[in-house]
Amino acid sequence: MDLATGRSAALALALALAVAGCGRDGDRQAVRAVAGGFYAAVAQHHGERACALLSADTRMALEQQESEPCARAVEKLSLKAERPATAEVYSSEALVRLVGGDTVFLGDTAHGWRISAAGCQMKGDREPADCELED
Amino acid sequence: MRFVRDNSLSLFFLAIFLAALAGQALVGHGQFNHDQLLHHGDPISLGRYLTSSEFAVDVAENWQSEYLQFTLYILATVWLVQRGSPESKPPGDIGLESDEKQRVGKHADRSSPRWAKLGGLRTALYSSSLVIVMTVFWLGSWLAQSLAGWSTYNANQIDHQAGTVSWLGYIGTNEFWDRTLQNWQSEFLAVGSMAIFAVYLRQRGSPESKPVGAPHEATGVEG
Repeated sequence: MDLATGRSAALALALALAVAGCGRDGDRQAVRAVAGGFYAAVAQHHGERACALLSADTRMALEQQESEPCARAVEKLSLKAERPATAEVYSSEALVRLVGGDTVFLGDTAHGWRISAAGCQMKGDREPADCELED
Repeated sequence: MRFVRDNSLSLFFLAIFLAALAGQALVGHGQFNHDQLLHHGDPISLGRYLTSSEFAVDVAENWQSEYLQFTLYILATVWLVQRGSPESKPPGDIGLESDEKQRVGKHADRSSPRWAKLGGLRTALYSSSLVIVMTVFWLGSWLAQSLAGWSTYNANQIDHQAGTVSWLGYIGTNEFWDRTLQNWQSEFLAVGSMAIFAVYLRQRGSPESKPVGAPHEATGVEG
């Protein structure tokens, strides 16, 4: 393999790793902050702050389900304050596992990372999780 | 102008490759944003789409199969023949052939590439350089497909609130092999049909074809 071919292969690998989601520390930090912030806001009964971290679809689903404004409905969720443990980001989707075992799902929106589902108990990769809140 | 004429085949394919890739980028971006809207998502810019794993996997899965096709064809035609095909050598020449016929080592002449004359490891490497480079491109683009495909697979899993899989786990999924095999089968069909069609059919003026008047039994004759 000559130098040019080696460089091309290395560049292709670097690009592939980049698009595969490696090297997205900024996004991982952002989703951890949103997930942690949401759980803290719910535990502290800051409904408005919690709702601002939900996606539009999830906010609407919660309001329809509880027949009341998001800020009030969100405070009734039985979510304990938990710290984020690990985060995974792929394309425009992410999940954050919390220390207590809950999982939070997020999507990248025009307003930044927003929560699409929270209070989820995972059931592996072959069926959807059971979620307290989802869109 | 002489440069353009002398390299017109490479330049033509480079130009239509870039045009097709640009077209794929534009329509792929449009389709991606169409799906985003159907899923209540936000459209993304063209620049962001071009660096997305969705675009990368669609490009890489086709690249890897093309490079595999040529790698296999170059290797298979060393030992396998198709009687009557201009793509094949005569059955008597099966194998790596003699140094004399390949003009390597002491059989090289003044116009031979330097590494063909040197002998030893360098000549051995140069003797397989085409397959080595094609294999590197095949494996590199297949690896790129697997990494980008892994990302889109897990994004889809998360979108459906299901668990993610490791890269090795993704290599074992139906999705990875579906993307891979759907490309391989079409390449193998095209190469196999070219080898056999060229026994009986002609294209006047093309070196990929036998001369129009050449007999069907003539093997390894290019027009």
